[in-house]
Amino acid sequence: MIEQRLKESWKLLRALDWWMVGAMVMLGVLSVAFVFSATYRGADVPVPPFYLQQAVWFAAGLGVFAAVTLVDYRKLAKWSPVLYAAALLLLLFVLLAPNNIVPRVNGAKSWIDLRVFRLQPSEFAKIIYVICVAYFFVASAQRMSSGWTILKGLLILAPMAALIVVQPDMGMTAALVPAFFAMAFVAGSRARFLVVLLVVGLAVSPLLWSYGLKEYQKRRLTVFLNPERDVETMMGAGWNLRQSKIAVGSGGLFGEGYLQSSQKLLGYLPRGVVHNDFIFSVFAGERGFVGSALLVGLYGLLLWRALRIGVRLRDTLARVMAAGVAALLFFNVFVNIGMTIGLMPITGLPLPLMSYGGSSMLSTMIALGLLQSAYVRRQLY
Amino acid sequence: MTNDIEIAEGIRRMRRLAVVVACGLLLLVAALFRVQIVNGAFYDQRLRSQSLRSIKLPAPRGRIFDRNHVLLADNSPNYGIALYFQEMRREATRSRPLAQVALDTVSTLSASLQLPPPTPAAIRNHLNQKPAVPLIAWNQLPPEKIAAFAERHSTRRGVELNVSAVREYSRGTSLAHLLGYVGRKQDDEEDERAYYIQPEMVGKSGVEKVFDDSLRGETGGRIVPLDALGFAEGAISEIAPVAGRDVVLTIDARWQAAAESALANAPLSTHRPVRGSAVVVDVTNGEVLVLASSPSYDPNLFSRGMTQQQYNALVSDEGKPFLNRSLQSAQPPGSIFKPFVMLAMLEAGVITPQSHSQCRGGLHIGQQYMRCHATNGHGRIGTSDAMKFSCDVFFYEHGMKLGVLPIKQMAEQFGCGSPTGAPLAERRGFLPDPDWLWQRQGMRWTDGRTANVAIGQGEVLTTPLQMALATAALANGGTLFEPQFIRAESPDTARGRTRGSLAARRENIEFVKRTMVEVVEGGGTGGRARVTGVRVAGKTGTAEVGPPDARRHIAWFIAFAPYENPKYAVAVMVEDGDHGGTTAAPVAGKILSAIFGRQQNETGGSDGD
Repeated sequence: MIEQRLKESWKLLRALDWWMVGAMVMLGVLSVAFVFSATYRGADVPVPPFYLQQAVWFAAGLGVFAAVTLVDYRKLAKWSPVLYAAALLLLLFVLLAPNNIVPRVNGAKSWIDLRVFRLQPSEFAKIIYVICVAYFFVASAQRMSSGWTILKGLLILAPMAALIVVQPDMGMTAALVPAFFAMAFVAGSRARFLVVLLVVGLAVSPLLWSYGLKEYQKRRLTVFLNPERDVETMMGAGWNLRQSKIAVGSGGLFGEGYLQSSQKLLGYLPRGVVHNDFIFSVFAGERGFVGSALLVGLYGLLLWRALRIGVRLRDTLARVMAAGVAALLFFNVFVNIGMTIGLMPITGLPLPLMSYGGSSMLSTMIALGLLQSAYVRRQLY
Repeated sequence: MTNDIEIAEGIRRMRRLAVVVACGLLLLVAALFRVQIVNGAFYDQRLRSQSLRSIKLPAPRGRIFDRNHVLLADNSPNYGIALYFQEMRREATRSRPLAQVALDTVSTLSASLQLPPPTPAAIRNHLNQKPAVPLIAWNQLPPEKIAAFAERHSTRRGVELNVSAVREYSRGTSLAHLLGYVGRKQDDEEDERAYYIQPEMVGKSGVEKVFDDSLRGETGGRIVPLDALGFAEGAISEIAPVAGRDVVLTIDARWQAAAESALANAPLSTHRPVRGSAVVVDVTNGEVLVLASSPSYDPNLFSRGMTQQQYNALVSDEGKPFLNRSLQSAQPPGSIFKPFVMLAMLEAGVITPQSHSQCRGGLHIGQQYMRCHATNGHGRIGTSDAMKFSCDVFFYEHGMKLGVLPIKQMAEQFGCGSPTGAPLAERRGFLPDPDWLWQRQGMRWTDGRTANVAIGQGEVLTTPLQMALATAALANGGTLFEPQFIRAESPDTARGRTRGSLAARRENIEFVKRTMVEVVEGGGTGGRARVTGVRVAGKTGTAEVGPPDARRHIAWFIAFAPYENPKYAVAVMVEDGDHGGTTAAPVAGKILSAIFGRQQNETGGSDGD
């Protein structure tokens, strides 16, 4: 029995998309290398163990990836309601738990402190969300042309978004939206309805601005719109952006060289965020335009293989999930890299597979594993 | 169950999604291109300007020597204690931050060395603005404090002895005007960009200023990268400063000292300290050996620092200690003008060595009665005696015959009325003429005015340096030199720079010189300038200045020696002196006896001018 099981598993794994796996591994290796660089302070100073931690997460992630691949995604999707409830409960827990279990970090309650490591439930909730919405759209295949279907889909989005946005975590909440549109579109909604939804959403956003946003979130947006407005802004909220641009810009064509980023070495890139949110600043500064273009290309490769699953497979669930996962990944990549050069406002969104952080690494691996779960079974469905 | 059409539609839509993603990624690459390539240099510049700082290191200043290599201006070490906050940073903890460590260190040192500490506000300020550079907490420490520091605190983190250079004028008030002084350089544009400058000294007056470029050397610098908190992370590059070049003056410090002493002890019945000047030049090339001006000041006050009161006292001192009287006090020359007037008269043929006048103590000129200084008159007086006894009537009479313009022309040839060419601020003096009078004051020139000019009064103004150079020109037979203050590097350049040659006949010049010997050696008015064993030629002068009810005298004396083969020319001027013969001549005598190493012989000589 077990032998047979193993044989089947082996067969499935051999059908993996090696391009995608290759891209993942490349990104993982780069991640360890550049978390090392981001925390490197000079030859005479010991490098903190973040990069080792990241290597462990990456290895664990590969394991999780393989495990999820072996799970039949269709069977998993059937458990959507349960998964969704679990996700909501976890998010609720995060909001209500006392501060010694869920510490308030920078004014936000987003992490569960498990002593040995920390976990960010919203990352995992994100994946569950994609599964649930995809499952719902596929189940409503006949009714996709109706506007009601979309609204019902929003009902899946709403509670989760609400629980995440009050943490507060604007970035994560925002990520849910393009995923929704992508999935709805690919699942067969009428484009017209989606456009209407988009317009309504934009019209509503000023209200959000006045009543929904906290001070620091407003500041982040004004800094984004006008980073050099005044000295206070430049020295305060605009500081990270300014330093990041300098780091990226001064990289030029080939960069300053591995470990050599002056901005990082001299502490201009704040040490708290340089290895996660601003890891791209270090990368771009050290590898230059050539490096950054190649990195974007690497993500392009990853996304292409993800989207390709939706194109090559007949199964609609696989297709819609692929759209959702691709949208999530793309959104993170675009917002994170964009933020380091002033193209996007500062958010806390990590660069998938590159930024330091176990939850992001694992959730990305799970998401990609889901897609591979479909891919390896492409003959079946 | 989905059917094939829906699947196909789904796949189509997936492809469109792929296009959107591709566009998004291309947009990212384009934006990166813009930031890294198009604007790369801009960001690179920002990186450098925010993280690199330049620190200026001044060069050791060149020294100033006299012609015999006696040190006049030097750099002496000034010991202070510098606080290096960067080092102290290592001791700082959360509960005891850097500011606290700094304050504690300062108070410990202050108590231990018994020195008043810098204020906490000053320390905090420095920490906020320039933590990467040291704060000089104490300066100009005496040796015992330096020793105490070295004994007790040399191993303390973040504190070190700091040595900087202070300009030291080893001769005190001597030569103060010529040497000048240094002060802190005003921050210029480039300094604003420099993050830190060790105080740079720049010459503010005198030789220090004129030769500042050479003395200052080349400032070096260090480029230091700063981290985000403003602390330095090691030096990137350093340019060593280039030491300034030494300057050797033509001055002889011993003779200068003798001249200053003689001037200070000038026989006067009015107030002290003496307000006057003494100048000695080499007649063969214009080198200036003595340039004394009294009263003087101690330039070390500027180097070491003085209080506002001390400065105010100097500035408001009625004696004007900052005035370099040798070049900046232009006074009527009085009778010392006569040799030049006589030369003009001889050249024009108005007189001969055999001419004479009848001096009855005065002369009626127009409406006025112009006196001779000898109230009872000199009687029948010949040309040579007119100089010896300084008879004003002789000069009135023949001067009027000559007319003012030839006098002016001759004086101009001797350099009166124009700058000498000294590299210092000087007054050019003045020679009046009818045109000037008409244009400036709308008055007609009169004979009386000519008469005044002939005896060096009226609007005639000269400086001691001018008179010394004029005397030198007379002494060397007709070459007017520019004054030289810097010792020439080679014999060629030691020949001096000529300003002009006198258009006068040799025998007339010699005659005038002979009359001047009589003034000193032959029982004339300049007897008190005699020096045993050296034949001195000279002329006294007592100019009158001020309103009629408050007349003051300017006592003058010019001389050259030795008569047979003139080497040096001297000019002495004392403001508010008694008479040229009694106040100025003895000073010149003392100076000449110091130069020739002989005794002064002050006995004898007649009264008068």
